[in-house]
Amino acid sequence: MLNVREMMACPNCGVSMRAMVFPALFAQKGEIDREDHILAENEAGCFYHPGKKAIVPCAECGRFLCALCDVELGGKHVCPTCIDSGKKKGKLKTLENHRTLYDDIALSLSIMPLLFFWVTLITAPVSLFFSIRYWKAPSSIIPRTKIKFIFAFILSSLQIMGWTLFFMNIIPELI
Amino acid sequence: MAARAKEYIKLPGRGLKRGSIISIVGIRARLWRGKDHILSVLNFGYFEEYKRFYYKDIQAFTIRKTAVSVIWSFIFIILALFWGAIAMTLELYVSPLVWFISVIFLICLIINIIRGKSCVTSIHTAVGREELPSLGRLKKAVKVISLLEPFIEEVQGKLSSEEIRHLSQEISHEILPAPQPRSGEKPSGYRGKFHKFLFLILLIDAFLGLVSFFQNNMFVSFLSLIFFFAISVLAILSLIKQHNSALGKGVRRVTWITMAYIVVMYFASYIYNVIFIAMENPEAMNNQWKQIEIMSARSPFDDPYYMALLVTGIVSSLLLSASGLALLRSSAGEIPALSEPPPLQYEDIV
Repeated sequence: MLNVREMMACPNCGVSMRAMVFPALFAQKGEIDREDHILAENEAGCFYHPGKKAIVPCAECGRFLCALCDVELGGKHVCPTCIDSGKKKGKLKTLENHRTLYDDIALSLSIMPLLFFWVTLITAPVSLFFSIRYWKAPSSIIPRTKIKFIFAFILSSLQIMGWTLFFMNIIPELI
Repeated sequence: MAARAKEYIKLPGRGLKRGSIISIVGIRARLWRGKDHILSVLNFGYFEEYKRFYYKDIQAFTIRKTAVSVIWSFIFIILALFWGAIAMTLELYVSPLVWFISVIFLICLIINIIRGKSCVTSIHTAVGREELPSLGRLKKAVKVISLLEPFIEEVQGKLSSEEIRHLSQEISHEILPAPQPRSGEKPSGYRGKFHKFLFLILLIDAFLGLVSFFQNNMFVSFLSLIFFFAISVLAILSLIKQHNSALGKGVRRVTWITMAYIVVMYFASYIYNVIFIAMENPEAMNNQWKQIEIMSARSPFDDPYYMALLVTGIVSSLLLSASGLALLRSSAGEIPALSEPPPLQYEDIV
């Protein structure tokens, strides 16, 4: 019943289902040779484990790595230290599992408060701040345009202009 | 920008993560195809969460059919009929707005039907199983998997049909959900007697509803009340009896939907009684008999809410009884009769 095109009843529970399996299901994990010591004088050793034979240099820092320290990430061989620092600094995109959508925040701050008009006195400058401050900040990993930032910028600017005109008319009357 | 756009390609299908229906923004899920992995994106409104499934790590995809689409269709039919029935009895200047609400539910129903059957799609890797909420419809799930298949096979290679046949027997217990333990009990020999009564009484209830359209009196109202009470009792008994029985899944589901319908109708009737009967006639607040009297004096053609309740009740009862009886009939042949234990022999006793 595996890898068939039509739905079939599960032999266990009778639920209609379909399963597509791939060779990875049957693959055995390759054993890392943890006892691969330096055999000859002229062989390079691992930066982190000097007693072990280096097999590859780190693609980020160039340090020699043994089989134990070598981590394959997005086609590159990286050392654990670079992974750690890359994750902290957001350099390694393949390790990122979370991103804040500042453009959505900016747009919401410029649209939602319109329902309670007076709130825009505070939210419009905040939205404008978000639009400018995070213009270059990394947005979503998936393709995304700056259109939300542009709309947020225009809307919040208009709101600020509106408030400026309002106060310009009100203040002379009060004085 | 062009180089960035090529990094991920959007895959068909979108959905909400299970359990997020009551959240304010909702957790929207989508899948994107990368160079060497699938990216699952969960959008929480103001931030996104990512999960990567590398082609080399993907062990399997499983699709399990569910009844979610059927339930939604049922809900949309009920809501469309409810608002349609109210619109029919309202004044001309108000009814277009109510018709509009009914049409919205009708559009929802059509969209739900077009989207096709619902399912749960999961991706299996060495570290576990992950549900893909964006592939909640069978058509989309099959399409996406067939889109991804060549990319995975390019990395992992292809399993021959001989290998699949040979290995599927060995691993089926690992990848497929384990059989649900039924507390060690043997399936009961219950063949759906209570279910049959339940669906037949539902049919009579629908008939009574039709009668009250034209001939609403004390006797019909009282009889409807008794029948509704009988339906409630029978539904509970059927749910108890169907546990650990060999009844088909369809019959079980219809019984659960009937129970949900009963609860909804109880609430709707209670609200109607409190708002439209007891408030207009405070003396009937704590007098059930008086309430039946008032109900029997009302005509559905004069009261849009009573009309809506009646139409919803008739349609739901008819749908449930017809589908329940049909499913019961089709599954009757599949239920194995309980084999009688062999009679004790003299040798066994001695």
